[in-house]
Amino acid sequence: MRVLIVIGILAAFLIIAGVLLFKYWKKKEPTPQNPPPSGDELQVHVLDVGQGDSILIIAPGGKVVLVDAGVPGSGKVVLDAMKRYGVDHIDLMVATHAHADHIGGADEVLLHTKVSAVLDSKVPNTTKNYEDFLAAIDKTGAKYIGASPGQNFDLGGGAKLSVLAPIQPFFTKDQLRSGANEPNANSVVTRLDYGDFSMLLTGDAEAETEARLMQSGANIKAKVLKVGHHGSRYASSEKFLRQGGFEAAIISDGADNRYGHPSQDALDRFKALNIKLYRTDLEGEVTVISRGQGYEIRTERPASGDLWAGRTPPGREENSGDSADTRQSRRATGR
Amino acid sequence: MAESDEQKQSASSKQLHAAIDRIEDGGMAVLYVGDDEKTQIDIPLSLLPEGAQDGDHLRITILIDKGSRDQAASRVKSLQEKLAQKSGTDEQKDFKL
Repeated sequence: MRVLIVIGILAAFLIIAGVLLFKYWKKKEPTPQNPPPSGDELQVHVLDVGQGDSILIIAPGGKVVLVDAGVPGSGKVVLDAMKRYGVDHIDLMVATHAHADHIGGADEVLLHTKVSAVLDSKVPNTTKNYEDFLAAIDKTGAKYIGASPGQNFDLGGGAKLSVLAPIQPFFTKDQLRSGANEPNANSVVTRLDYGDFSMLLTGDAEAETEARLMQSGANIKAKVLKVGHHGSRYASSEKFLRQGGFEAAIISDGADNRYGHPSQDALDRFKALNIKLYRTDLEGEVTVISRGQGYEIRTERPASGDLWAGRTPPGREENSGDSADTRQSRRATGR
Repeated sequence: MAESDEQKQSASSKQLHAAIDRIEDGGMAVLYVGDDEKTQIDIPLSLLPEGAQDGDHLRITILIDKGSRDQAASRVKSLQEKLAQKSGTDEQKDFKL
């Protein structure tokens, strides 16, 4: 009888120890370690496509990633840049979301260069531009991948691209501020890691998405930020910028935009946190180079204006965006 | 008269297809217009029909409004005449400034 009790106690002890050990092991399970950097050059070219996004990444081992393809007609800008940098294929095209200022030139790129795989948020748009993009994937036989957090793309040479968003279930319109939309909120958000260098690419994600990312425990800490939604006042919340600890921020936008991008509000938040700012509308193409230790940022030309001055939509007084928002809010509740 | 105006308008009307790609900050709707959706037009959301939202397809009817133009021309002409009469400069050749 006494033996049985001892065995019972021992068994209970072992089970508890096992559970504790398992929990500890689970906790300690590393988020997959980044491979050691080869020391070769990683290049990130934030192309000047006007009021849109297109970012060409050339990894140390020669793998090529294109994040977005600018406004319609930007295909040529992308193809020219590829030629300039000596790459003749794209291993992964990321379509952060289905708006024409991000996938505008995607069909053209797909039809004129070899693209192996396409990563899409899968939140659709009803435009011909988005249909043409899907049709081009179909025609060229590129692999079509729905983006999901936890996906990792090994770019070789120690560089890696990881998907942080869209987080399922997708944002719906009723969860967003009035005037916001699902394609933006469900943008594909990725992080690029190479040695001690890191960069966060946020598509047109705004504050709601930033909050969800922080809540999900995603690793948003990075040296460089590709600013969300072209410097919109609704993106780059202070909390997100603080938690990300970004040293530099790059805004991809066009001088002729009528949407008030970048907004003074967002620029002030970068300035308050001493984040170094780069803008394609004023400096042309912005290039980040890293060999896995530190990084360097170059611009195509010196800034043609004040980097810290935001844009106001034509015909609108400062802060009059509020009245437009009120109108949208009224409409939204009317539906 | 009204009938003939309508006839003039319908003879020169055009139907256009458009899709609202997105609504940007400040309530600016970004439209892609034409059957190929290649032409971008930015237009305040407030100028679109109530309830229009991103992703919607639109049919735009464009009419040349001859009547409105004629009315404006007539208003302009009478203003010119009124001003000239008021200034009394119709027949004047030499001016001392």
